[in-house]
Amino acid sequence: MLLFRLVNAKQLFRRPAQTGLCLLGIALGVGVVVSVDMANRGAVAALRSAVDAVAGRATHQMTAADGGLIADETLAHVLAHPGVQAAAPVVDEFLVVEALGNRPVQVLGVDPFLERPFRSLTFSTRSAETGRQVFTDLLTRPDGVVLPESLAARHDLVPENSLNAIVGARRASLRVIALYTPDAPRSDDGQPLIMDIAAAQELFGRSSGFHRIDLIAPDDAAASLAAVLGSTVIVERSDRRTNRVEDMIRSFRLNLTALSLLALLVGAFLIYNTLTFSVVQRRRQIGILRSLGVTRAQVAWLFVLEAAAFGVAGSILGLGLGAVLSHYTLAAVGGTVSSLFAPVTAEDAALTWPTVTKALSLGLATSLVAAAVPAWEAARIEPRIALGRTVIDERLMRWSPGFALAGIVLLGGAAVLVGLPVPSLWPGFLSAFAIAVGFALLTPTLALWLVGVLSVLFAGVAGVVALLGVRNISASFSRTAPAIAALMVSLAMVMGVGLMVRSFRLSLVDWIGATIRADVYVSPVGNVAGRNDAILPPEVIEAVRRLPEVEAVDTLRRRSIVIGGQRVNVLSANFAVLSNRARYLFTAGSRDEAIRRLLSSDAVIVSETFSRRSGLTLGDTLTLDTAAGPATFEIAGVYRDYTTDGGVVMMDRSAYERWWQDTDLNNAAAYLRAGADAEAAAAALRSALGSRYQLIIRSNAALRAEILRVFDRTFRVTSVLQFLTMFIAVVGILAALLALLLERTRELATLRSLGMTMTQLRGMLFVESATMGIVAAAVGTAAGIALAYVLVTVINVRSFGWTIDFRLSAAVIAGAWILALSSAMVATLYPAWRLGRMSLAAAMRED
Amino acid sequence: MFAPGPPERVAGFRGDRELKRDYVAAIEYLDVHRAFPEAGRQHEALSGVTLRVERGEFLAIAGKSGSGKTTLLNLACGVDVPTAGEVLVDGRNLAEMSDRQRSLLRRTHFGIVFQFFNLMSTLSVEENVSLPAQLAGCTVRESRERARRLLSDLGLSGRERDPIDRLSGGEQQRVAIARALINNPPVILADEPTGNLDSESGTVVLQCLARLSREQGRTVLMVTHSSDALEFADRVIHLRDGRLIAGGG
Repeated sequence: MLLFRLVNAKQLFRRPAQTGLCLLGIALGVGVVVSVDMANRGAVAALRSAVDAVAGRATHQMTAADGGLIADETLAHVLAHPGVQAAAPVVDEFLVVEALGNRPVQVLGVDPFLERPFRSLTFSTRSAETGRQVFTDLLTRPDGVVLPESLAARHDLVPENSLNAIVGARRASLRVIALYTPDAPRSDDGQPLIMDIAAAQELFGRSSGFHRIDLIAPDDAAASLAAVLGSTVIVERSDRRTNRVEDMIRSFRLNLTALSLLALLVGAFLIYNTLTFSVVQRRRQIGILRSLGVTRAQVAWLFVLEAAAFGVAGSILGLGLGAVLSHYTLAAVGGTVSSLFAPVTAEDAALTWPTVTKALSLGLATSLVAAAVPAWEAARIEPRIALGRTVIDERLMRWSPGFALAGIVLLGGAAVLVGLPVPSLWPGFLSAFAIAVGFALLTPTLALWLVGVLSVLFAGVAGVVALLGVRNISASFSRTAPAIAALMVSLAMVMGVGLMVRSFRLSLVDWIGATIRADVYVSPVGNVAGRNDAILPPEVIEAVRRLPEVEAVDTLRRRSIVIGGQRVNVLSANFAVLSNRARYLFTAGSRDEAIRRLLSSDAVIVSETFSRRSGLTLGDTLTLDTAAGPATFEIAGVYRDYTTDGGVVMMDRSAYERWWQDTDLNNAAAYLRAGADAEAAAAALRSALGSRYQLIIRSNAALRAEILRVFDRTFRVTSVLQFLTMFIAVVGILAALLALLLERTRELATLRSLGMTMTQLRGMLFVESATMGIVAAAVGTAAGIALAYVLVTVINVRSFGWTIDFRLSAAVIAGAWILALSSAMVATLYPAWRLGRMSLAAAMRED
Repeated sequence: MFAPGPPERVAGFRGDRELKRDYVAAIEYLDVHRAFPEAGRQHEALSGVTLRVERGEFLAIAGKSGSGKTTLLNLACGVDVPTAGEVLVDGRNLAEMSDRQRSLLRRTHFGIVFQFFNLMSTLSVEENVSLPAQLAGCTVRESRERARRLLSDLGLSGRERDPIDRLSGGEQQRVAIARALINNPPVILADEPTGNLDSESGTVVLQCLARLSREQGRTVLMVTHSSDALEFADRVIHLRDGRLIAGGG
């Protein structure tokens, strides 16, 4: 401990800028990991809360296999089944309430008599009415609704307030009859509105049927019940339902975690740089200690201890930083989850012990790994030999080819991992990390080579100031190489993710161009979050057809069914209308042949996500539970679809109606005659229908813009991570430049004494920094493209099942170069300012 | 021109050479004080030094370590500024110049030779020599031509493209002298120029400096604590604890 105080502690306080920047690097790296972890947990908690609040104390839930409603008479069978302790039917719908922020709110229609074992609610009312009175009100007031107390408080609602709601395409008026406090308080957004089941059926335009029946029953009783009722219903444990929700966003969470770990990798370069600087600064002290009998192991331990101190202190700071950052990442993650999976407003998650442990372990482990080489260097110091920066620089240059070889081996490994024909995401992530580390190992060699090229260019043209700036990079290689590598990894991430997002966006634009072909789209306002319950009234569709400029109308019906344990959307459309209009992008099968088969037989086309998950493809058959019993369909094609990662089975309307006896419609799409104005048609429909129905009427352009807006919102979270990682890299360059100034004080003073003005000196520093930026951008471009390729062709496909066309974008690459150079320049500002405060006479005396 | 040879007596204070006493001195120190903070109090590195250095004079500044020799040299070229008193270069008060003006003055008026050569390890021999010329706005081509001529004069032909670390100490110091001369400055400042050299190399360097003064009329201020080096100077001043104890005037 005395040794540590002697050698390390004083140095840490003597160079507060270096110490501070290193701590900031680790803190930011750990902070990003913590914030992503907390945001992930917040999003999962919001989803889980929504599911659990709906499930209550049910041990099992029964749903219709065809995704529709369970017939009323089924309830009697369930209640009479041996072993079933309790059963309650539920109507589970969404509506939009003006007073609740005009966003979708879940409504549960429950039977007050049967519901009691499933949830114990504490009611509060305006008057001194009791729960019994609420019970009576629920049964007798068809517009009565009970709100969760916290939600009501947030929106200033009290009992007897009336609520304007939008149900599907209609307006409805509701009245708050009481507020309730759930027995297990959870997120506000997880708490549904509660109505009487009959009132809910009425409100949502159904005369009968339930979305599910909640059960309290032992597993064997539930299993025997399922067997008795046959394939028309599915009975599953409630916790499986919750797990399924978590499964939905698992890939998404994994992707974010992997990106956050890259930020930590960038932080590791900072620790390496700081510790190497420490070793060089204290080489004399170490030499003296060695001559006094301190062993190599003890010297190495000193630096391992220092790294550990950095790791722990940085991680603790990172925990705080992560907690603050999580507020912003959670907003972004919540937006993505809402866009992709289900509407949630995730609340800030608290720091938990697992997160704290993870942060400390990661921070400590990263610090120790980064400290390995500097500690080894320190241990090699002989009592009589002062290990100078030059020695380390030369050693690093000597080792560069070895590093490069290791980098090439890692990149080869990455290529092998990419090619592994397994569905798991891990080879993809490992491959991405191998690319990041592989290129980082290649960086010293490539940097030396590029600096050599730039030297030749600058020597002939730019003069000696620029030449000095460029050559300083190789002269202080042990300092500059890690900073370049850190910036390179950050840029690779920015470019990789940027190219992936760009490729995705361009693929989406192609897909929109092929699929979104109608001129005007009409859907009910209540058609939210993959719900298929909001129905378009037939008179609305008729009004659309009657519009003079309309040439043809396609209508869409969506139904959710379970195939092989997975929920899948069955879509039906008018392929007679679509045949010469929509241009679905087929990945298997030909478009014309597929449409011919859809129109002439019981054939379906499936989305590539469905095909990938089910293993079924062109020519295979698929059995679906229809209203008329199981029916077999031939797969006539596999098409690209970005609407959901859950899988889509599409068929012609005639086949659908024949098998499901369902004539309801969710959306209408109008194709106008040539030359007609889509915006004018949309406006005409709005004025004709707007007063009677709550509809979203959008022109083609508006819908396309909306899809791209949702897309951009989905990827906002990656921008946050990209920004943070770049920030760590800037801190890395700043730390490297400050260290270089300290190490080269005498050299800089010499230049000043030779007549170099402060402007020229700063110019040299800027050239040096810009060259580091150029080298990092050059290597980062190669790494970024490789990373983007893995993200697009492996990770994205395995995460979501979507095929994206890999596209190189000059704009993304140019943007990353500008970012690299501007980051390098920004990092130079403070050191350049420090230069101006340098005392020349004192600097000349520096060793 | 600068070929090695035995020390040569030069005219002046130690010999017969008459130096021109202009009205304006090359460098003039007027009651100069310079204090540095040390262990919580001000340490006077120079105390009331008054000294006139004539044009073309080869002046040696002798004294023990810590006597203020290097501080005196630093004050001459504006690397440092006095705490009190004035330093005049060609009659101009350095304290009244901006940092940029002092930089430009160092560039054109002074050539500096250091004990540890202070060459840029990242530059070749020729690039090192041409550095001050390029800083002064000379083109790359012209500065290199000048550098080649000087290197040839100093016996370093054929070494232009060599990296610095391939040269011996004596050769490196000759490169430093070439660098000091590239802008044809009237004053050469040499801080222990032989302190890091063997005696043979040191003699060569001292001869170079002596001839710069004798043949080219440049003013040379040399800091040294080597008694052999003093033999080459026109005049020797001695400093002790920051005070001029002999040779001033």
